[in-house]
Amino acid sequence: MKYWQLITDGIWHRNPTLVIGIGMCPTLAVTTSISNALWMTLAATFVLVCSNALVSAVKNIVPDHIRIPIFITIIASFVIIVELTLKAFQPEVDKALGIFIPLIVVNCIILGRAEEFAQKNDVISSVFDGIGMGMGIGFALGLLAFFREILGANKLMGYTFIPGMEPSLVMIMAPGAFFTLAFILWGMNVIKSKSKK
Amino acid sequence: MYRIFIKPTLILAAIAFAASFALSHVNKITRGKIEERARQQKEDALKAVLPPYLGYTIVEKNRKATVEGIEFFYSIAQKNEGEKILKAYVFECENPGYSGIVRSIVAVDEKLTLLGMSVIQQAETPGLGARSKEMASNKTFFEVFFGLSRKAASDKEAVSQSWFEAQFTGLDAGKKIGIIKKGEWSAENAALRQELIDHNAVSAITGATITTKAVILSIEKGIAALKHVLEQENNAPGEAASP
Repeated sequence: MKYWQLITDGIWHRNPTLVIGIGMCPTLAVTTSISNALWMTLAATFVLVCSNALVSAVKNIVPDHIRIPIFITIIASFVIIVELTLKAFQPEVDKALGIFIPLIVVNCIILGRAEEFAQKNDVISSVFDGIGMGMGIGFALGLLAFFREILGANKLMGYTFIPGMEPSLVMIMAPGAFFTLAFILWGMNVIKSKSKK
Repeated sequence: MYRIFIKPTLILAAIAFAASFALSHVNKITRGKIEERARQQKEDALKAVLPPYLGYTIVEKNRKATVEGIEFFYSIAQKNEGEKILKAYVFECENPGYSGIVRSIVAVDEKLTLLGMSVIQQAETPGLGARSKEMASNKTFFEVFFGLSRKAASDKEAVSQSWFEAQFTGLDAGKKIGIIKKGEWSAENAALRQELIDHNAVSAITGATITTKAVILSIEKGIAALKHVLEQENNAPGEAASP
């Protein structure tokens, strides 16, 4: 039950993007299409789960004052693994996401979870925390990308959504991401305040 | 002493060693694949800019010249048409885009009419400039989702050039290439295609005019270098005497 709690926390109660509000850079940049958002989620989740597990496994031998360089080394290694793998087997994805794959290293969700959760908990909980947080990223990115791709490019999964509709350019630019994010946060808070009553 | 300096150093070294050990293995597995992809991409680009049906064969590959201190690589292709030998030139050109270099491979014939171009390297914004490589699709999401057009995936693979790249074909690179903001077009939209050819212009990628300009500038630079090289060749004393 504890593990289930970790997953729902990641998706809803403590959603890294929508509730904690971290990791905004890739969130705003890659949510122009659903396929970009999904691949970003996969890459970030893989790194998050692996780094959480490893950080948790080595937490007892890592002296406190050098923990950050060690965490970053671990995270960067997994990011490079993801980058090389994408380059070799999914070159189209690698081209579409470009710089945002290597930038996962500095995504605060991943270092944040290592600091806040993995170094204080056991390996299995950390893996579940990673999965939950990863699904949270996916939920947020998917939702953003769904609206932005339809409104900004009149497309869904790369195919025309409504033939003949003129897409609004601002939605695929950065301001569109902020507008969409604001509406999603609004909707989330409405649902939350209703469920509290 | 041990607790503050030696132990942390040893642990950090051990982790760094483990990380590089793991990465070297991943690199070993993926390197061949990545190189293969890069080679394949160059070959595909060459096929896209100089399609086989045009009948040209490459006679001299990767000639190198230095134009105003910048290295310039080009290949010469030719075909026989009746009595005459027609030449075509394939070259690589680049210009800074919105984020990083945009490099293209371009083919022109003797009259500097563009036979084709393909962007081979770019790091533009996903969803904006990066769409220079995006394939146009006329299928709507619902058609694909409900299985009305099952062949969607194979259709996509059949076209190796994006709409953005394809619109350069047939333009006169000797003259200035303009930009018209008309959005995406596809092969079915013949009217827009004709309008572009009449104006010697391309349609900019929506929201990525800088990328579009970068590509045009790179072609202009490449053409200038090519002209320079060809002039030098024609004026060379050895060349003029030979039959």
